[in-house]
Amino acid sequence: MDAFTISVLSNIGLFSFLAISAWVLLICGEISFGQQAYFAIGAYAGGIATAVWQWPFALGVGFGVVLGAVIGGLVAWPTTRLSGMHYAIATLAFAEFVRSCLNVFSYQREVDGYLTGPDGANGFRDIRWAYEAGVEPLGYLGIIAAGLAAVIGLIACMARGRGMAQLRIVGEDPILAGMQGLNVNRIRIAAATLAGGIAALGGALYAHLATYVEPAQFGVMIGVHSLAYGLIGGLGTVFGPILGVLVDIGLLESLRVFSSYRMIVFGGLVALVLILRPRGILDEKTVRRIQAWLRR
Amino acid sequence: MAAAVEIQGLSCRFGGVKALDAVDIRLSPGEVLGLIGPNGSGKTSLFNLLTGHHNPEAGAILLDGLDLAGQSPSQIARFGIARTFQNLRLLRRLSVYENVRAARHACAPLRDAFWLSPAARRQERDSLMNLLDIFGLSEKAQKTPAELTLVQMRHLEIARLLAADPKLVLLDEPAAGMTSAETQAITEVIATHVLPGRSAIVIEHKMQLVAALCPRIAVLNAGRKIADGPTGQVLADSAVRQSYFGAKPC
Amino acid sequence: MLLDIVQNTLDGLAIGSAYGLLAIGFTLIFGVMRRLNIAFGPSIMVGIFAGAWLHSQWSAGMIPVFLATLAGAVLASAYVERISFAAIRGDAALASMASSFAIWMQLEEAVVHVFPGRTYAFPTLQTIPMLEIGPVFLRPEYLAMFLTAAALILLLQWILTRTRFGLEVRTLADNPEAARVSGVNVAQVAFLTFLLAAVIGGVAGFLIAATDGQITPKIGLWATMKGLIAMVIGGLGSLRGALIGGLVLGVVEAQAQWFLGAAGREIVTYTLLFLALVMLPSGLAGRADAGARTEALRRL
Ligand SMILES: Nc1ncnc2c1ncn2[C@@H]1O[C@H](COP(=O)(O)OP(=O)(O)O)[C@@H](O)[C@H]1O
Ligand SMILES: [Mg+2]
Repeated sequence: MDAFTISVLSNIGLFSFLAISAWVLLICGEISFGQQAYFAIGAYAGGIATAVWQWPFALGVGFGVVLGAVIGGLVAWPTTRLSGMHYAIATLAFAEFVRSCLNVFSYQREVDGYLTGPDGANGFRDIRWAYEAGVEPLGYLGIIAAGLAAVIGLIACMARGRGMAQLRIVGEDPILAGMQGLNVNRIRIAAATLAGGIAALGGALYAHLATYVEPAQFGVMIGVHSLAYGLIGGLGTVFGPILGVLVDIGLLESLRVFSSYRMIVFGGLVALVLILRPRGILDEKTVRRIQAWLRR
Repeated sequence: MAAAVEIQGLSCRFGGVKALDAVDIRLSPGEVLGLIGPNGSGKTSLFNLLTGHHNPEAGAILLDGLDLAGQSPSQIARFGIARTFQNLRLLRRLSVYENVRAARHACAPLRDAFWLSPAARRQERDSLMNLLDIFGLSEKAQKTPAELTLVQMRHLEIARLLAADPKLVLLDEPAAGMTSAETQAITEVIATHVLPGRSAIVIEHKMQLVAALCPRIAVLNAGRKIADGPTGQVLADSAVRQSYFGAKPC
Repeated sequence: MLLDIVQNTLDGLAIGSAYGLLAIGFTLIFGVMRRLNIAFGPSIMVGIFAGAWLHSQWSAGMIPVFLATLAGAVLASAYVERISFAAIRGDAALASMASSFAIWMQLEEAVVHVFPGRTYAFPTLQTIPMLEIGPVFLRPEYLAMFLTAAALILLLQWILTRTRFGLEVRTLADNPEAARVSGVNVAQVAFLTFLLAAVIGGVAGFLIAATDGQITPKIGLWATMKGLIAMVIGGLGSLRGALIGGLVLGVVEAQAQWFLGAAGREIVTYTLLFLALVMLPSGLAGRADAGARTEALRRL
């Protein structure tokens, strides 16, 4: 595979974490404009763990994931009571809060004679694990793919268990969910924890691929994008948000003829899809039909 | 398994409207009570209070002696109260099967969210498909509720209620919008599958169903209970006829 | 110190009145459609660039630039309404939001295409001298901003309470079902509301651009953020709340900017926003979320 394809595929994989993270909350009936916060938390925490503290890669990524999940749950705890729009803006506020805190967050230690660590708005350089461990871009793409497979596997387990059904019931009709004995708040907090962990995993992997991260990379625009991916790709299955990412990055990177009209084409395409299919390409109905067909 | 219910001096108000005014109702275990009254007399509001959807202004609700005051709807559901809805409340984007299964998620341990053993899945599937079969819905298990007829939707709500295996069932106009033959059919299903071993309150305007299922009825009018007793006796009561049949039921 | 606070409050109120206008635009659309139009800011951005274009091509004066700004915002808004709202029927609030995001991408790219540079000049009002009231200063463009906003809000108040269209808008926002039954042409009122919101947003955008003197396509994102935040602080669905939310946001930002600098301002603003949402879920104007209200009204 040539370097360009590898980098496009890596980007698709990394954005998929964010898109799945926003999708989990959408399934649960909540609009989050702020999943980029957990992506940033994962990136910074994972980077600090491997680059500053010199932890092993897996442990560093794990640290990022746990931190993202815990903070996701903690933020959800006071906010799940809020209704639709308020929740959306609260997530936005939190994400911008995280970004502006990272702008002043400095934590540098001397490692091998160099000052390493985040330095406020100047960003965080030299997250060099992949380089030092001699992992090639293709190998790193494998790591990303493995992480994504783990997330999809977890969600597949939840679909076989009760987790996905619980999320969908709460998302569809929280009042009815309560009357069926489901603890709506607890389920929403669990969903936010899960979503935080998934985004943080993507962030930690991103940091080690890019080797450099800065607060400005985690702006609102990324959050809105990742929300849109799920809505375009479809809410019926976890492959919906991934499809959304594919449409955006994959299709448009390959259709270079449109180069400078890229977003105009993309926007028009998405608007058309949404007119024809308001719940995205892979909506619940389509997914059910595909499943029935597979079962035969 | 049937529960005893004691409702004492229950009042509830929406703005200036007094939806319920000091209502007392007692139900011994296994008893089936018909609840009738003109539209807007507070019948559905009584159910909403029982399921914890609204908080009472005054009064108490005891389920087997346990005070339900301040409990959340989900806790109350787990104590064994299940209901149907006058304006149907189905999960539109989930399959018929998942709609029934919705009642089974409540008391499951956290591990179940991530993993159900194949045996457990099969067992759940069999029992829920049996249930759907009773209501003639097993063919439609993978359809969405929107693809059902109104009568089938009402059946589905009852199936969901049974899936929770409640101690007290609250049926809110189960035969609304049905023809006489359909009412007859649902009456029989309720009599054979829902009522045995459970306490129940049934709101209904169709006397055909009330007379067949409820040995006792209570009458609400403008939030007050104006009669309570054996069905034949209450229906003969002139005050009831005045308030209920005087105002055209619809 | 005290003087600084007074000065910051004045400046903040001026900027805040523009935020308030943006929030009112959002509130009108949200109230009538129960859907979020996140392309509201970018539509205004189109208007501003139309104004800037007129200015740079023919060095047009203030009034033509103002009219061009409004026209651009209204046209872009009409496009958004047709594609993202009118064309997506039924219970599809999420689809409309995603679609308006897609149109946002289109508008932004289109503007970047026509205006490939980074920043553009916008005519300013700086010809009028600085006003001195005792020890505090009032920038003339701030005074103009405040007065225009006040006049526009009075006009809007008049439209909403005295005209037939206003009555229909309010019925629709209060109770869509009742509006439909009483024969309100929902599609038409929704479209007109969109245009009204675009005019209000266009005025706000003009005032802001004329104060700053330079514009970038980023102003679309900026306007959407400020308007949304002010709307939510004020409490969804109330025009008075939207205005109060805008003013509060403006004052808080101005104070934090002065005392803490840009980075501090962001941290303080977003912390306060988060806390306000959690502790005052019904907003400063004390009205519950319109979505929550409809949910509660959906009887069991
Ligand atoms: N959620 C609510 N908000 C405001 N008023 C309500 C609500 N629910 C019921 N009411 C009012 O309470 C009264 C009783 O209604 P309800 O219990 O639905 O009557 P019924 O079921 O006997 O027809 C009616 O006047 C109704 O308008
Ligand atoms: Mg009723």
